[in-house]
Amino acid sequence: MDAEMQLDRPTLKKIKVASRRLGLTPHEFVDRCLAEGSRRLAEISRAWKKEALHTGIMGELDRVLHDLEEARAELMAIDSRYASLNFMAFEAFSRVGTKLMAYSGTRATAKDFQKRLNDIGIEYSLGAGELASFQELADRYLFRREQRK
Amino acid sequence: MKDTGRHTSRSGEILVHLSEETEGIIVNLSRERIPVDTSYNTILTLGMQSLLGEPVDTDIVVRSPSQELDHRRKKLEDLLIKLQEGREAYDEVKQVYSEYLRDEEIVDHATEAILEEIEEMVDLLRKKQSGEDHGRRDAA
Repeated sequence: MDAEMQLDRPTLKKIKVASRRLGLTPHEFVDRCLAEGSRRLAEISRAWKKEALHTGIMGELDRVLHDLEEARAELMAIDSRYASLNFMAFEAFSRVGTKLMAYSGTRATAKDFQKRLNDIGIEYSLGAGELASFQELADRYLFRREQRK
Repeated sequence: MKDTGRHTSRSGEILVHLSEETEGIIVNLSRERIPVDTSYNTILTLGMQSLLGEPVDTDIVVRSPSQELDHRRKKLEDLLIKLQEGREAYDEVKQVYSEYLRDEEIVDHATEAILEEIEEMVDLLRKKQSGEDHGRRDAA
């Protein structure tokens, strides 16, 4: 398999010098280094496994790794649920604002009728339609003066 | 650096050839749960040290098992903190959402009620108007 590697200048220089010394082309030298390196890596890996088993750490390493994987999965699930709920909350906020504006227009109409009735001597007081917390809600949803209670 | 059709660019990109054996070792190591660094650059450094008779620096490849355990525990600790923060943020947005829904219900209810009240007032005005009309007709 051919692969492309990115090497820094000092490494390239080292490869050039070393390959000349060994009578190899730089690419032959690099290929040999990779073959040798992978063999050493396998040895190191075997020794590591042996040490981990010998010291009794292997089981604990696996257990912590398992906990890590579980925590990562849970974090991803929570992040996703959070994003979805946050979007729904944003939509609900906008909806309340729009409804509050519509209510405000209807309330003005109601006040107008109330005045007309009062003018002809009929007392009429708005009941459930009079939103006591209108200013509080307007501050929150229309003027964003208060984020949350 | 030129070599039988393979070139190395000035920026340091080099085309290398991996034998089947080398490729197999790297693939197997990547699959194992041992935290060795299987990047080509690390393997190259390791191989170069070995071929040139330099002391092989295993620290660049893998942490010792006890260091790895400490490293994983620290990672787990950090992750659990993040998880707790995530749970709290979720609970907070859940609370905010329920407040928005509650307020939406309040506004819906008030709008419905005020529309009924407008209807009532219009009715009262009509009645008053028709009463006045009857009165005028009676008087006439």
